[in-house]
Amino acid sequence: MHPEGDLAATRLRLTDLAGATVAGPGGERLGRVADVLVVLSGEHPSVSALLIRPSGGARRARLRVPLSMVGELDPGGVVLGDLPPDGADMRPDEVALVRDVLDVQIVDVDRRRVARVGEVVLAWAGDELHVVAVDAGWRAILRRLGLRRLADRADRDAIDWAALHVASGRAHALQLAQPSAAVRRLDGAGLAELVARIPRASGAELLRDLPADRASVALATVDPDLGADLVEALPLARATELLEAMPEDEAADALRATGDERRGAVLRALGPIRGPRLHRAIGVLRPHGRDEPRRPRRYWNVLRGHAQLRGRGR
Amino acid sequence: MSRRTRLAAMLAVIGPGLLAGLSDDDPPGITTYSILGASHGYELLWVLSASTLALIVFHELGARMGIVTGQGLIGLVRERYGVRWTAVALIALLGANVGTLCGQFAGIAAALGLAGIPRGIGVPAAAIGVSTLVLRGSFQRVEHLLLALSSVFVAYVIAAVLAHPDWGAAARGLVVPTPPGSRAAALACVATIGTTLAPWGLAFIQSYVVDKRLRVKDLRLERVDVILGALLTGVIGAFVVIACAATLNVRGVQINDARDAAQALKPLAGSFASALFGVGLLGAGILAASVLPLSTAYSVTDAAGAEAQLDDRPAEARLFYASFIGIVAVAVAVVCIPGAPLIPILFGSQALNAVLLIPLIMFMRALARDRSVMGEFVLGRSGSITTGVTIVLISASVIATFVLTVA
Repeated sequence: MHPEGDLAATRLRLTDLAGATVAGPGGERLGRVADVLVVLSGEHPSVSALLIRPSGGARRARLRVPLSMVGELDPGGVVLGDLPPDGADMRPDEVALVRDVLDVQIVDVDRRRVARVGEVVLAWAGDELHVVAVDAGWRAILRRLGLRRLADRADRDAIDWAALHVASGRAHALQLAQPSAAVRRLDGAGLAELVARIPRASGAELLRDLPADRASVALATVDPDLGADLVEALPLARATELLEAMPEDEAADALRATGDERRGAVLRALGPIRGPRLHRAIGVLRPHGRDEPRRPRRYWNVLRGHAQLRGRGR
Repeated sequence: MSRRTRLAAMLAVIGPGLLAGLSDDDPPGITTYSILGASHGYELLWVLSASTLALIVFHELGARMGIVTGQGLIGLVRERYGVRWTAVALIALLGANVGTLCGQFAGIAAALGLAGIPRGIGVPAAAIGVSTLVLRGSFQRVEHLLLALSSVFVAYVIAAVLAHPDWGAAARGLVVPTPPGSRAAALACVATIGTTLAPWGLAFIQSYVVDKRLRVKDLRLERVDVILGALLTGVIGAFVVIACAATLNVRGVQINDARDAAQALKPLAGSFASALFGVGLLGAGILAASVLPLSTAYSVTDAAGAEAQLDDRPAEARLFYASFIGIVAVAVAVVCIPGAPLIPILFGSQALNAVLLIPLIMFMRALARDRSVMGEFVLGRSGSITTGVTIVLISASVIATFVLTVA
């Protein structure tokens, strides 16, 4: 499936579907589409259900309607073939596209950049509705603002779903658990680059769950300040495991910037040979660890002249 | 922790709050505080106390949100509320920032005017100089000079003491809320709120905390940083008001240009008052005119979602450059309109700040109360009440002033 090109008849935009009216089998109005639920598996996961906001219901009331009960599905309106049981709620393995993906930061794993999801593109394949791509360009933003004419002239920036990783939240966690997760294709250096760009907690989770050989290369590659943050955010056993596999210099750099308590625990856990060696490597230089001011990156770099604002091109 | 490591830890965290707080002592801020003191004496000092408390509350909130989410304010609005609300927030922020940047350049123009340099030459030159330094990464060469120049405003503390103010009246003014008695007084109150709790300061502190990669365990020290920064700005502001009340207000001088405002420094600097004031204005103006467009450009790219791409995508870096240069160009154009009144620009932009501040702090409050955003650091009941009351009070003063001005 190719994410570029015009929106074919089999395709749907998430933001068109969200808010569409929902009618029952007899045509009676039930409510509106609040969210679209998918179960993450495979390269282009399929929609499992719609989340309906019943009209006249409480503000937070939601009703889960499995896709199999949906008769007609298009932006003009959704007609159910069957009435769902009352009180059905989203399942723990489901991701809500509007809440967890739309407008959230993602990482384009192939092109190694961070973007924000402006639109999610769905496509029919037989009876199944798949998530095929997202649009992170101006076109999606302008279209949602109602500026269609401007939108038509703006660029689309389509990213194949199979090539992206959601940077935080529920979608991040569920994606990471997938054997086919895009991040699993990254080598150590690519992983380091990614970890440097997403929220720290998400970065630590990547290093926790991905194979140790690549995770340790990534930990050795990121700058020591971030390395120290990750050493502190990782479970102790995993942090120790990764540091054990790192070259001594890089391990010492990361540990030097790590807080006293965590550094002590890691050094004790590192074993009788590596532990004392690293301890010496760190101790000689600076006994107190994180004593240097933390430096802001963007403002600091720009104002200090380390800026690389100009295109580096790849 | 030993005392030494505690100090070191403090130094490691300190910065965002102090910087964001001190950014209020820029030309629009000094002008607003001067007018507050010159026209209304000690009576409205309580507005400054109240604004300083609000500054502590919202800067703490901004810092906390930055630490917990690792994202800037506008990015969070986009993630939680979608593109339409992001447009609302961004337009409010841009409006306030353009106004305040006009204020910075008006301050630079006023300072240059004291030296007899026409603003049609001086302001564009300053703008080009500043933009070049920042965008080419040579800002560090002048950073310390600018910081030193703008610290001149600490002179107000000495000037105020030397002017033998009525300390009793000042103390009363600080704690006893006297309602503003006139339209001008109401406008001065609103401008004081708008300059103390400046919208760009809110966006700046959150992104700076993210930028500095502070962690949850730094939160306690970051609170100290925020409180120090806010108190420092409040204290300097109060001394500006007191100095102006003791020198200008007693003689019935109204501030119509920079020379009038400079008179408040006379007890300290005598005939050098204008020079001292001008130097401070120039340094603080250039400093703020460097950081403010930078912070604005980050907010714009954050809304588009391209924040972290600056390093490697020329197309997105274009957006960054365009925002930076665009906002500077608009501000320079406004200030260079022949005969554009500088003091009303300096003062009026801060009243505008107060209006545009309201949607932004409403977004901040809503995000901070959202458990799915903040997790265990969600804004609790007392925080919700404090921020809610603050928003209601600010809105009420803005609406009352609007009604007074129109009616």
